[in-house]
Amino acid sequence: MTRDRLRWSVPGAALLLLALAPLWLRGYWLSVLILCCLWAVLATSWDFMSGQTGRENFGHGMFVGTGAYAAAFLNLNASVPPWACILLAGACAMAVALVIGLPTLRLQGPYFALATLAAAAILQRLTIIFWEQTGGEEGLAGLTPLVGSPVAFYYVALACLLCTAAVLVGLAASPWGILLRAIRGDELACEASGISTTRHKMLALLTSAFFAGTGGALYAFFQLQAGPYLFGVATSLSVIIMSYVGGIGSVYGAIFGAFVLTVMGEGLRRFGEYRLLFHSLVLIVILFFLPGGLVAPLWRRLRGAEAAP
Amino acid sequence: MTLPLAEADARAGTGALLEVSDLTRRFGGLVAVKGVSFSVAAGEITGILGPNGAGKTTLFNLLTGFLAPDQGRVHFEGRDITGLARHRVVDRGLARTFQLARPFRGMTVAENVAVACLSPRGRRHGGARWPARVRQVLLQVGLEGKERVAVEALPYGDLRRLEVARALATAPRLLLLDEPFAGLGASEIAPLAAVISRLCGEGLTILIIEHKLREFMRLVRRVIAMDFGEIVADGTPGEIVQHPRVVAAYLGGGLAPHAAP
Repeated sequence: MTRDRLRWSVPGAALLLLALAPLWLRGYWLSVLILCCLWAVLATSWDFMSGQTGRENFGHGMFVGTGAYAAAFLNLNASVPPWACILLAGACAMAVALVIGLPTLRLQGPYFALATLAAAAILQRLTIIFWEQTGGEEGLAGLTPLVGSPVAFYYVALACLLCTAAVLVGLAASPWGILLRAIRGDELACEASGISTTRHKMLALLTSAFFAGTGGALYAFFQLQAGPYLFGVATSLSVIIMSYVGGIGSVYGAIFGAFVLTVMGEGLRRFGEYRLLFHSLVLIVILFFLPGGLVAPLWRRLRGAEAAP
Repeated sequence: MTLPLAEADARAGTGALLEVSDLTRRFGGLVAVKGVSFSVAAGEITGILGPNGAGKTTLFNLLTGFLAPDQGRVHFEGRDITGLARHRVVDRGLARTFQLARPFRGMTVAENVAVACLSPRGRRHGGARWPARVRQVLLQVGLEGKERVAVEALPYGDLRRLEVARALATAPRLLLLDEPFAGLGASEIAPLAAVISRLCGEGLTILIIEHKLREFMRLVRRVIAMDFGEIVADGTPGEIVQHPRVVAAYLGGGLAPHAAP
């Protein structure tokens, strides 16, 4: 009873706070909050594949970058309306996932991680090589704004995060979620139970890629620009670190990690590229003292406090 | 009663459920399984006996798609299943357990069994309504009431039962048990043996690996003895204990000192 109430009241309160945030926050801090929502979409989408099945994707940036470039390209060259661009960007990221996943998801051990890392690096190079189409280092700029004001964009980003979180929480709680966690537990035992692990890993990767692609497209509409850095190692590592800091295998953990690290990253902005170093240090400290991430111990404490009286 | 007996009757004409011919597998210079041929009739409970390293587990791995044979074929219900992917072998109705229990960590007993219920074959045989099917399978192996227990908290004997339950949830026609009694005390062996013979009584065909003679004698009606990758004897338990090659392997050669009574 109390557990059920807590299960709804904590995310509910967080959501209310986020919905009312534009009343107090304007300008720079509203942008930070938008970035928090966008990174949370990217981190939850990474966590769905890698947190549930345990097969770590070190090239999530390839889906983010593909989404951003697909949206920019369609908007600039084919005059596709922004909203349609976002959905099509998700589909393009799924196509990339299919091409990368089919040969690599059968690989055991660290090879999937290495293959995804390499694939993201190759895609990033391609944006430079085909600079006439992609704008090279500059990327593609001049996208049609999605909505009129930053406050409106904030609500779009928040709605996108809510949709992503709702779908992924639902899928993780469904029977399919049990299969994905079983793959994380023991792939051979899963096969011995009649489950085609390659098929389910592929479906999980496609789901992950779709949300990463839409998140990347939304990022492009936020910056009104898509740049090659989105494919980069910094993007791929950031989502991994966010998921681990919050707690792997949990949508709430990934969201929490994304908010904490994005705000921290903004605070450390003047240190430039050293930010990733700070992120990594935070990760090491957290993994050392709280190997399950930040959310699980907080949750237990809350539940303990609720149960005590 | 949920076992797919109708399928069994439809194919009963041929007699043999499993037909293994000339199965061979080498690991470098070592021939782990050498020209093994035998067949298993539907409804039979057959033991595969042999000292450690005789090739028993390799044989199971060859039958279930965990290893590809260098030579030979495996026919199941008259169809060639050699080289089929592991999950497709299960889909045909051939399920296995592992010598070392391999539960899905971080999950409950019910969720562990649910995975197999949710496999394509599991779904075709009642697994689509999986909470009910899970309860039914747990009852079959004597784990009823432990649905919500985390596998980490399960005693070793129950982990062995869970291993059997997970295989059963795929609704197999042939169940391959790889040393189900390994590591169990005498007080745990008898109830598990009762579970296995009850399953056989319900019409399930069972192939069971063991390297200790004693556990077998009450349970099985036929024993295939292996040594150095080859079948050295095939007969009733009574015949097998008298067989000179078996006596040599177990008593004379000192290959398996733990097996001597």
